[in-house]
Amino acid sequence: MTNPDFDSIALARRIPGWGADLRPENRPGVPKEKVPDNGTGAHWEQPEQQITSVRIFKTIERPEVTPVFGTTCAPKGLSGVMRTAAYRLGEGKISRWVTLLLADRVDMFESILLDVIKGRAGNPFSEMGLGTEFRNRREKGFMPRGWYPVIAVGIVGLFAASRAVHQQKEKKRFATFSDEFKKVA
Amino acid sequence: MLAMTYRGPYRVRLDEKPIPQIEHPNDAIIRVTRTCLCGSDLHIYHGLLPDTRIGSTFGHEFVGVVEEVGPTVQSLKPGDRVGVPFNISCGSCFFCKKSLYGNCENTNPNSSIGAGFFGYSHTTGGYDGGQAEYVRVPFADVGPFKIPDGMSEDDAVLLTDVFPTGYQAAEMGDIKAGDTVIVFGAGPVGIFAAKSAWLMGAGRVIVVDQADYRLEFVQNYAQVETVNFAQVDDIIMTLKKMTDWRGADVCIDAVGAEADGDWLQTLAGVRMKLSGGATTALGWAIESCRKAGNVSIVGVYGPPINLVPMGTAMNKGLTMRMNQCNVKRYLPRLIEHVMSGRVKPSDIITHRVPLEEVSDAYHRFSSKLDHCIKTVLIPPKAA
Repeated sequence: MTNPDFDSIALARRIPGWGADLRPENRPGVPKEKVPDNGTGAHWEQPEQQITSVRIFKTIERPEVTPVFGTTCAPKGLSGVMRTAAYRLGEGKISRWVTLLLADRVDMFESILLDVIKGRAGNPFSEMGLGTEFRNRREKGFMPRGWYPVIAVGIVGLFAASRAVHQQKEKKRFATFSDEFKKVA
Repeated sequence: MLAMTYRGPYRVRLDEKPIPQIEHPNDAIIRVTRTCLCGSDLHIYHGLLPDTRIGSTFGHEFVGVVEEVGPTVQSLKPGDRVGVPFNISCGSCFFCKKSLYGNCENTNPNSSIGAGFFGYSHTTGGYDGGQAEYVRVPFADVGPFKIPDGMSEDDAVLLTDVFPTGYQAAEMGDIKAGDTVIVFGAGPVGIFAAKSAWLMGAGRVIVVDQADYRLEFVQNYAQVETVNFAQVDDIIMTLKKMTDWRGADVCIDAVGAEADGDWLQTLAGVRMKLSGGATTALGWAIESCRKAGNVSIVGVYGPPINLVPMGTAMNKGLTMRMNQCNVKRYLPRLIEHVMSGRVKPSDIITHRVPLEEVSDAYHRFSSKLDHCIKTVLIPPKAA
């Protein structure tokens, strides 16, 4: 105990419920491993196996597919091929996780393409919830802080590009003017 | 039915999806009446968790009404008001028999590191989550709990993850009477970890964050001291000075993979994804804990590697405990705390919005706009 000013009576008076679970027997997670007091609700030794026609990936660190699993968003396209490759690797390998992350990004582009083809492309502005940005961001500035460098670089880039274009035009104009001047002279 | 769907990093929308069906004899279909955004939802919203597929529905904190049950379900019937723990557990495996429901080995075929979770990528089993009008709940006889009469759905929905997770965080710290506890993160889990530290008899509780509005909230809600790490030169020195230069007895990491405070960690772990997130808060927990103290970790990190000061932890003789929350084992005690009025979980809810505004809700929570702490989404059929 490192707090020299500890006063349990004052704390109990000030804080509702202070010390209610001070005794280990009042802490549900003590000891760490224990047989559940009132059972778990399971009335089976081994759960029945879920059947599905959806393709389910299984980690190679398990002997078989688990009795239940989710069936949402079956693998598809190039991202599906990448995920298939990733699931052939052990979970301790970084390449497994990086391949899955890359597959997620490929999946995103595939989905955008599919949305456009099917004519149901969403509005990225509203999907990103940026409406709330305009309504709510008062005290913190107008855009997320992470965008500031991007915006700054963008503005500087645009300015530099417009200067370059302007200078090119001026050069050209001056060259044309000089040629005409020479002709007249 | 209407369901939130993930479209890519920072993009979600509401889509029409088929109503889920019974796929296993012990399944139930729940009509969702309240569902929350969780801080860990932000990790998948930001595209940090591998195998988060486009079209997935997030949401692992939800309550609702039983709509349909599978042929072997005994404990629930249509019409029951239930809350559903975020982790899916079989109740009969090696781990469930030891009350370690968060480590169930029968619900996640995709990875051996954890159990299946609702709406949290295919790395945790590929289940659709509760940010929808309906959700499929496997092992309905094991996970769901009936909401007691007199308990509001707003209180109940916070018993499906954040309150038990915060409580387990404090419990894993093995708090003794008078201990000084530092909680890193003033989000919902950090708030409940602080509150639970008092229940366990802490003598002093300090919460660290950089959002002033969150620190102000936790000061009032949990009667704790606070430190804004962005307003001090060196957070470790500040905390050591506050704790007689020794450090705290117990430090809790309630932040996880997207911690701010160290640009190198953020660059490597969050921007470049060279490791499973920024371990800044965990590093601070290790540094500011006293020798032979306890560090408890409930912040979520990605696999497989992280930059953690293990040398410091070893030399200080720290005990480190961590786990996903075994929600089911905590429910009876936490329901008692709620019903007795010791803790009022729903007080942390700052936003109640229709499910249709899910995109705005994610952005508001992610960018900490409008003093957002906890958002509850209400599907149209529950309004």
